[in-house]
Amino acid sequence: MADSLVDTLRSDPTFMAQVQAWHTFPSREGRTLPFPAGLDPRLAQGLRGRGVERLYSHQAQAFDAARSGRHVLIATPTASGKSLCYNLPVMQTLLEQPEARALYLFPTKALSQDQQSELNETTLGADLGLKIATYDGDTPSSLRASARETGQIVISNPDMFHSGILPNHPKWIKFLKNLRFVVVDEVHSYRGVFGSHVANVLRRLRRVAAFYGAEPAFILCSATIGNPKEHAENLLGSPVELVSDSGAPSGEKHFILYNPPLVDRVQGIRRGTVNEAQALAVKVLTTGQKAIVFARSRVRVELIASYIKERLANLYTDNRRIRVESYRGGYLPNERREIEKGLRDGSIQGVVSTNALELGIDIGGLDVAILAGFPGSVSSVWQQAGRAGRRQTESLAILIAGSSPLDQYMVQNDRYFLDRPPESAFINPDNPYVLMEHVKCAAFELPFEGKLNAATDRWFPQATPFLGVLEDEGTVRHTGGRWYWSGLAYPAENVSLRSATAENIVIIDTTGGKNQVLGEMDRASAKEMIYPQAIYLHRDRQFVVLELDLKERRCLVEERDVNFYTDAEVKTELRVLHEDSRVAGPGCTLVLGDVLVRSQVSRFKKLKFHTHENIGYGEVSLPEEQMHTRAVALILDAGAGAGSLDALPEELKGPALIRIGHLLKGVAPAFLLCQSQDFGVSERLRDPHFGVPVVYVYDQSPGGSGLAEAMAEQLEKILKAAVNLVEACPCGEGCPSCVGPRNPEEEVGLNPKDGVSRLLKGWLGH
Amino acid sequence: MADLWERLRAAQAKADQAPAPEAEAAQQDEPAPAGWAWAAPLVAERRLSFDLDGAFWAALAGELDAEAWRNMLCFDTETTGLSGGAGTVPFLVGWASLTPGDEGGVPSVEVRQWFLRDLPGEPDLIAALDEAFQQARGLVSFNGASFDLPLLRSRWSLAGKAFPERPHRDDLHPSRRLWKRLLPSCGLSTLEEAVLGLHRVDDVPGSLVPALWFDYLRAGAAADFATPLEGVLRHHAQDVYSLLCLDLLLAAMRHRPEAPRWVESFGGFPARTPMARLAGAGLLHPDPGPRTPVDFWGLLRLKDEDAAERSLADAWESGRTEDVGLAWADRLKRLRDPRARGVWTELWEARHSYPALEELLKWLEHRERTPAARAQALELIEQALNAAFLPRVWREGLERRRNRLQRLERPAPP
Repeated sequence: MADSLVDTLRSDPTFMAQVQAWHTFPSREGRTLPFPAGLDPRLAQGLRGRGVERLYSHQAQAFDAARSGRHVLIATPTASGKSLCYNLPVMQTLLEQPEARALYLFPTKALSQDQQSELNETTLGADLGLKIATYDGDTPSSLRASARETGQIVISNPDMFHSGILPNHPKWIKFLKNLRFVVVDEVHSYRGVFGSHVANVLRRLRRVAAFYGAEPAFILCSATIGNPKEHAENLLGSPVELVSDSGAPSGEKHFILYNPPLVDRVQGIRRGTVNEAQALAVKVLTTGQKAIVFARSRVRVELIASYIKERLANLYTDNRRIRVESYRGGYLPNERREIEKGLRDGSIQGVVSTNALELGIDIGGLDVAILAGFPGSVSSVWQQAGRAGRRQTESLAILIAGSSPLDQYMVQNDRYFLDRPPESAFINPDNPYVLMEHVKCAAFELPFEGKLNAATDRWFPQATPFLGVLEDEGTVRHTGGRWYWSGLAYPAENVSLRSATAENIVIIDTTGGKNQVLGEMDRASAKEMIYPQAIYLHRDRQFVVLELDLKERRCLVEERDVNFYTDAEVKTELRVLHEDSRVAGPGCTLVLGDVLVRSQVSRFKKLKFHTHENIGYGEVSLPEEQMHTRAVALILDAGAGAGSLDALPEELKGPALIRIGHLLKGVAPAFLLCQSQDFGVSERLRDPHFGVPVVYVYDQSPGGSGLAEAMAEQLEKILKAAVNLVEACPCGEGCPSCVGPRNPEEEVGLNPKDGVSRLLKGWLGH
Repeated sequence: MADLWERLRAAQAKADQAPAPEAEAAQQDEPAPAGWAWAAPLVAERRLSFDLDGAFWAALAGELDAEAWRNMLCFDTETTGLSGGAGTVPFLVGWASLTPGDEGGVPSVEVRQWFLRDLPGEPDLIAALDEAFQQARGLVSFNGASFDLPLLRSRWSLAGKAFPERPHRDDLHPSRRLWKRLLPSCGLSTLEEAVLGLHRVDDVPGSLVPALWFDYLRAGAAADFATPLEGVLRHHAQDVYSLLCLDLLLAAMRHRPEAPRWVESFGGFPARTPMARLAGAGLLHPDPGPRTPVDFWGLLRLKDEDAAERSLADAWESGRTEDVGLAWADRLKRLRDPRARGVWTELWEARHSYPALEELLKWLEHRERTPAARAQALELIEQALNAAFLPRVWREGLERRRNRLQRLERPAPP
């Protein structure tokens, strides 16, 4: 089936003209082993009932390691049967010793619910009588006590565990003292500042378990990243055994890098990914293949899905319709469950989604994955591409490049892309800002003993200076050789593991006097997407926003039939709060410090459907958003290197600086191992604080997550890569893929591409 | 933010210089404050004994058997926080209990308090309390089921012991049934004032108590804790004594809910000069002189739910007073019985009962929900607004309701 699509595409000259690279990965045989000796016959029966007669080699390996009490990390690709790697050893142990307990941690509630139903299927199917309970924010209080007392497997998430379970550990004594296993799924998602928090939650977990005499074995699961073992060991603080060789079979996989055709050669503008993706998706779906399209923003998901549906409605007017749905985090849980189920049972053939469907939710197997734009990291590419491909059939993944410099760089340098290992995940559990919060929580949970070091406290040996600072503040008391919590507040309540606050805005449909919850959105995105007069797209319908009440966290919308959508302009301003250090960088001075970033949405564009042309503007008045974070300032003082800015004519200086910023945004992610959304760039020709031209690079996580520091360290490499990009770019005077297209209003006469190129070379001292 | 690094460096330097802290032995040779004794190096206890107020006892004695309170502990805790988590420590635990008087005479009250001088003493506090609780026949508390008992169970767990479970009675729930609709709140302090007629003077607000204890610790956790914490200790002692009095009153009401004294007045308590203080402890006796309305329905339910329902129906048939009517209609509403509508209608038309009108409008709008019901609701609202006697707050409420109903009646835009 998929091979006829492969042939169709191969013999289509218009398609092939845009293909930059086509890689075929050969199929692989599965490697299986018989069930482990001594496997409880009820478990074996349950597995056979689901069509499993033997285990994959990696599942058998994981079973051995976990049962021997060693910490193990399973880092095999998607759809390799990872959940059996942990469910089997856990259930075997629980059947042998019903007093034993296991904790399962998933990053989100959706994934935990998925797991609970999968577990219930297995246990109900084999009638094992194991008690499985979910304990999260949605668990009603009537069920919480029984989860604590009798739940043999408790499913939760790091946030709930941190603020709901750990601080109340005496109520969990029966569970904790018998805790034998802790399963942590999707550990690759615990990176950056969030990952540093989770690492500390795990430290607190092990500390409290040890107080009750328990030393659980950890079973960790990760998607493919560059450094799975290192990351897991950083997260856990203990050695782990790596299981990465997957024994699951796979069919032949095709991976295509596709660059949309140029529509304006001079300016270098290419056809947009939205239109390319929907055309390709329709082509795929009409051959009977099942497809998933990953888009990079919520609006694009809605646009692509509705364009596909319009196209299909023209081609198929009878009941053999192809059903395509959109999917994203802001939909209501029951809507999402329905779509996931439809994908699994085949009643939905196509889905357009944000990266919400990249992670573990089981959506069955699809034949084709179309990536509308580079998702920001090589790992995401493989995750998203990995959604295509069922057990033994052929599959296809097509990455459509957007016009951003990063996309173009990737698609034109396919060896760079393919040879590049997936991004590594980095965390810093000893990040002082993070650690301080968790020392407080840990002190609330159990007093700290005496003078701390690696011998006296396995989990927080470095806590002494933190406790000293807290003692000065009066929140801990040092007496009788111990440090006791002596604060009035409940610390975990004020510590959020995630930088974005979890206070979502609820979107309410008020059309015709009704009052129906339509969906939700996080607060930060809400200001940029559902401001008054914005067009909100939700599945097949369009709504206009009547009112956005941030205080009450609701947004009222009314259904309208319009032919345009909206796109807000966000203005950002930056103020230096504190300079920490000043060093000499490559051709410039680098200052690291704290800044206040203020952003405001004041104006929005109205863009027509399909053509995406601008048909008007509107005004918005919303309060500004403020964020306190870390930044590095690249100070282009006069003199050597970056002072070559002075050599440029006056009217070119401002635009040149902006183009440098544009380049940094595009090239740095590949070196900082983050997404371009993770940091912001602000260019000032006459900076009010330093008095000279400055480019600020600031961290988008409040409080910082190390990116500003990493930028300072890697600046030279990044600038060199930027020079190479500009030189190698085939455009004439600048294009979206390198320095940005030429702007006739701003520049007079001179060629911006040359100007920037000379500036960069001068900066690096050539 | 940036100065966190500096503060950490300074704290580390300080820790490196300081010698390893030895477990500081509490000064045991320092005497405990007057009336207190050290039960352990960091745990003090005291007992207060006095007779129960004679007039209070006389009014209730007919309904009560004092023997039922022997070894029943009416207890309360003062803790370092409200969360009940692992870091919340009880530093003051105590109770009031009753010993029957000779030949049915006035019983005597004993108030016991246990005070934690500093955090390391908690295991000793738990051990002492454990012994005392083992001897008790039962426990009485106010909101203890959701707060104090789970907290104490956690502290026992952390100390490696099992909490000695005893039959427990939480007076919050019957209090709510009797007074929720009639008093602004059902907290112990409101009940103390409104029902027991007990007005504290210069009391330390409960919310300040944890901070006061931490201040005392930071000031050095001196042996003389009774001076800086005098208000806290007195507050707690009054809490447990008031709880005991409330418990006695509730028991009497439960015994004979139909007694006219509860409904008409707390008659039988002669007018008296208030505030008889006890020497040394400064506690107050109850003085429930003026009438406090009581929820008639709640009162009947204290004894027997089914009998109560019959009594309520009968009371409505024979009397048709507003409070009985509201209670009866409320009961019918919970049973989703449409007779409620008739009761409210009658109360509104005959007695102009605004609470009845509100309930009726809510019923029409949300329970019946038909266009006819909504139309009738609008009519009633118009009628009420046209009457001259409505207070402003009621008027505004009706206007809001009217606006909402009118909006719903509008057809949807095309």
